[in-house]
Amino acid sequence: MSLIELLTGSVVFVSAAGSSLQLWALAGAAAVAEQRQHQRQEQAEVTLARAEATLRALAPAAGDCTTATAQLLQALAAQPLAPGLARQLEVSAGGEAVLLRLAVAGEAEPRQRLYAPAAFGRCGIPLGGGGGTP
Amino acid sequence: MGASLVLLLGSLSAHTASLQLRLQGLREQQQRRAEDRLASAGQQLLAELQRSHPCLLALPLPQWDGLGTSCAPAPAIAALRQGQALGATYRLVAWRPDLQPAELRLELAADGNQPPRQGAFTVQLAPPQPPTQPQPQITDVRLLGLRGVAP
Repeated sequence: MSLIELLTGSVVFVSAAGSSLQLWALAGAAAVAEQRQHQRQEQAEVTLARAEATLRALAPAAGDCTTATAQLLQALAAQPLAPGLARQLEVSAGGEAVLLRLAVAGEAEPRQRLYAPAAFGRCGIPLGGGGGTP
Repeated sequence: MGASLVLLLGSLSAHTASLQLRLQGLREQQQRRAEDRLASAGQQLLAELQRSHPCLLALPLPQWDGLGTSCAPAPAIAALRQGQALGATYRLVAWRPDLQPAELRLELAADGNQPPRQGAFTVQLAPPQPPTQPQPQITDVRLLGLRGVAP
């Protein structure tokens, strides 16, 4: 093997090793970022599940849905929030549901869910059954 | 040269794997958004049924346009069959109160590059207790997950 071949081979090897290291570093950083994001998403899932459990735990309020919605709003606002999440609560136009917006750090769009106490039978029960008989 | 090639190929495959992981993350994110919209649509629809048209809770969906019109106006039934929740259009695909628990199925309309997606819910109904409660009442609802048209 001549000196020129040896030098060329070394240059190629060093360049390949450098590029390889860069690619490994990129892949490693991406994997770590992805894992962190995944953990935040899991926390968001837990928060949404907890909100639904809160709704299930509401005491039935017969016909009045605005009272049940106000109670739900208060209970949701008092719940702890994991780091990396930001919560926004809003009562729907008719006052019969709570809209929970959950911004997850690193995601462009927030998670958002509507929680209606009437959908869980916690309110909205018409006096005398209502709605007629089919 | 051989060693250089091995190094480069190894790192490229690691990079490809991380890109695949990212793509999978994006797909999961889209699925979670669809679940959010479906869950919200389900709550909106069931709340409306419970509040305004509990008589329809007792009837399977195919009977709504027949027997159902005796207790709920046709425009209200049409609004229940198709609506909007959190900016997404949904369609009522099935309501099966004869099952135990009852089953509700909704379909989100296709949106941009998102395909239509169906979601199934189980709904617990308390049976009617005349004369104080002549209609069934919802006591619980759970989204089972996405299925049907969605990949």
